[in-house]
Amino acid sequence: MASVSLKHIYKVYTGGVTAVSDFTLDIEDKEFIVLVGPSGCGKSTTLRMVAGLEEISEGELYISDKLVNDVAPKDRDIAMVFQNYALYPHMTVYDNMAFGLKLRKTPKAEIERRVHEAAKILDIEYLLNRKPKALSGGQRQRVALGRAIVREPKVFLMDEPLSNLDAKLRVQMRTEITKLHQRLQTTFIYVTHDQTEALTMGTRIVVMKDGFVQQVDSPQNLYDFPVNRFVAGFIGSPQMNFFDVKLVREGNAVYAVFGDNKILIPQGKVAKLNDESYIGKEVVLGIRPENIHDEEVFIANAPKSLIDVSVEVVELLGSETFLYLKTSGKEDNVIARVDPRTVSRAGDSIKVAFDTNHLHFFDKDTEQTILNR
Amino acid sequence: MGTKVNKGIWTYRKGAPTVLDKLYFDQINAILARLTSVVQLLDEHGCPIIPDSGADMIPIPIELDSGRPQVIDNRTWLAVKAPPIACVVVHGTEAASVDCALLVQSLLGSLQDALPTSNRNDACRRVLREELSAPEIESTAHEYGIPMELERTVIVFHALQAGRISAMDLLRDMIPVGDDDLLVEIDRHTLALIKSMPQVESMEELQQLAEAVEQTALSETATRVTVAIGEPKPAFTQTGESYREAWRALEVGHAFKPELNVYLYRNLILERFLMEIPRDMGQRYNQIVFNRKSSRLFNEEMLHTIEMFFAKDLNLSDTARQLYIHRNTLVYRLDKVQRQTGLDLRHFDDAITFRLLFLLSKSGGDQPTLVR
Repeated sequence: MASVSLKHIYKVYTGGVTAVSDFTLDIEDKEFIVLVGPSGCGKSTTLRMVAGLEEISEGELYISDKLVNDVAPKDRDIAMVFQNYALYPHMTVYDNMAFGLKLRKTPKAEIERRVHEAAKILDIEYLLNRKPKALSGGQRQRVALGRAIVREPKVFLMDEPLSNLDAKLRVQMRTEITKLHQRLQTTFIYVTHDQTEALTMGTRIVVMKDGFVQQVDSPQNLYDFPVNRFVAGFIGSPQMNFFDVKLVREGNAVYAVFGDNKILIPQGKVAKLNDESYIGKEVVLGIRPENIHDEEVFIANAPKSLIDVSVEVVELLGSETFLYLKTSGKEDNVIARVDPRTVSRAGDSIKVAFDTNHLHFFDKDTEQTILNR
Repeated sequence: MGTKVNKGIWTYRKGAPTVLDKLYFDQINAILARLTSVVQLLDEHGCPIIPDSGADMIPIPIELDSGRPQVIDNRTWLAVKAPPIACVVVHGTEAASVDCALLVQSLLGSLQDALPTSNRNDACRRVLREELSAPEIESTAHEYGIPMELERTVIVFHALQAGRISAMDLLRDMIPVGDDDLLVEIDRHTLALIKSMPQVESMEELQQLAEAVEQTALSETATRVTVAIGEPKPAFTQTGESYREAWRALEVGHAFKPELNVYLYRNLILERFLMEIPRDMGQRYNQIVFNRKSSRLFNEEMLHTIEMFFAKDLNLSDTARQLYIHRNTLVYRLDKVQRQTGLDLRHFDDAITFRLLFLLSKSGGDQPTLVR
């Protein structure tokens, strides 16, 4: 068990390409930290620097308060689980799990104890005598996790460990890894490009883009209070709807206007927009799909937050329905997550209401949030 | 087959003995000479190798079990696998003679590990580098007890950043070596595993083995190892060819797929073909699309987008999701490529043309990218 501290970490490759810039983060002991972001954002590079697989160009890395920039990977007391769960095909599960310990000349009795203990945690005791070809993808991934667990590391590093699994198995393994973290009570650093994985697993999430940390926060805070348009769009599925709007004052009221649509902004939010001198200017309005409603009762109660839309596609998913809508002033579809009993059908022209308490506003140039600062 | 002239060890095999041979036998001779028991070491035909007395051939009982001492005709016999030595004979039948036979077996094993392995390694390296003629390879195989007719595949492990530790020291314990396999040190950075195929179910299994070694090296020692696999060959004389293929896969793989660490020769057909196209011709065709005019369009982001679009089998939605961009953004980017080059990457024919022209920038593989 250990804390991990990254202080102003940079990774610059030969030729000047900067993969990670000024990465600063304190990870507490037993935390489950998820690094998330699109391809090429620097999340895997950061993880590899913690593992010692990549040299740190600048900055300091501490594990348990010990500076480890120049400590060999094998002496950092970490274990890494990779995307590609490669196992020796001719060895049994037991031997695959024990292999790293054998290389480290661990006594046989100790190896046996650790392998059986890890197998029990992962519920794969019955597989110990099997060879990898007799295992399913999920079982192989558990064995790969087992190889890491037997090392009893202070920190687990996982680089997209589920991305080779099919969707159903991924969901299952997601829960397994979360349970594993609870059982092992060890620090986990987990890299993924999948925001759902990040939201469901992490105690804190680090969102990255182009080598920079965008926001570090709890899953709920990231969802509710994104600091910029990128985080707002990246976290949440389907993603937040964005509208280029103009903030117009009419008497005491302020409206967000786009195309033929006009949305009344609640007074609580107006104050902040006013303080920041955004009234009369163009900003980006964001609203999550679940905050757009087509229910009659909602529409009746929100006459000043309605927009006219045409329904292009209705996607029934069982527990919820997605409406893909077209409206003036927006090129892309607007997506609404509505009750599955909705009466809206493709081709209908309807009105939908925005839940204005959940509106987000972003500066058009900097893309930073205006309300959550 | 070596010429047998039963006149002591130095004329025992065809060709002059090497320095290491001499060291090996001198050491065994010196140790055995100090024993009170009379011990003889025989080759597979019963010719005495040690002591060097010019004694007559002793028929080896056919019922000998490998590794288990057996008492037959007032002698203790023990079959061993220490080519060219095939059998230990201790005169006497008491428990001390049995112990003596077992001790000699251990002695042979440890000395063979220390000395002639290097010699065998040297010979195998020459076989892999195709420095020996077919009869010489046959002779080498006989000398070291290597079966000639056995299907084998060569796997090359290359650890360029091995540092002070050699690839052999780094990887020896990570590479499983079966009874009929040979692990050969090529140089400080490179090992070759001559893998016997009868126990291997498929090339996929070899690939898994290669990936397991690569990943173990990375996680245990933080060393990046690249692995390349040649094609299976039916005879020992052809292992050099498999080795050459593995090297080619390594060179082509490094040039075309540097993000990967394991390469199979058979999976790099297109890349091998492109590598053989002369560099100037490749550049000429490459510049049809990738020229000064298009250099602003094909920036890092655009190339990454196109690469992902190909990796996702031209599926717009999957690509957009993976890149975290809106589908329309992707369509817009592809439209830009079409306007500039006339190639609509959403269509298979145009996509393949684009891909080939792009890959041609890496053509001209006559210049080796790796030090062999």
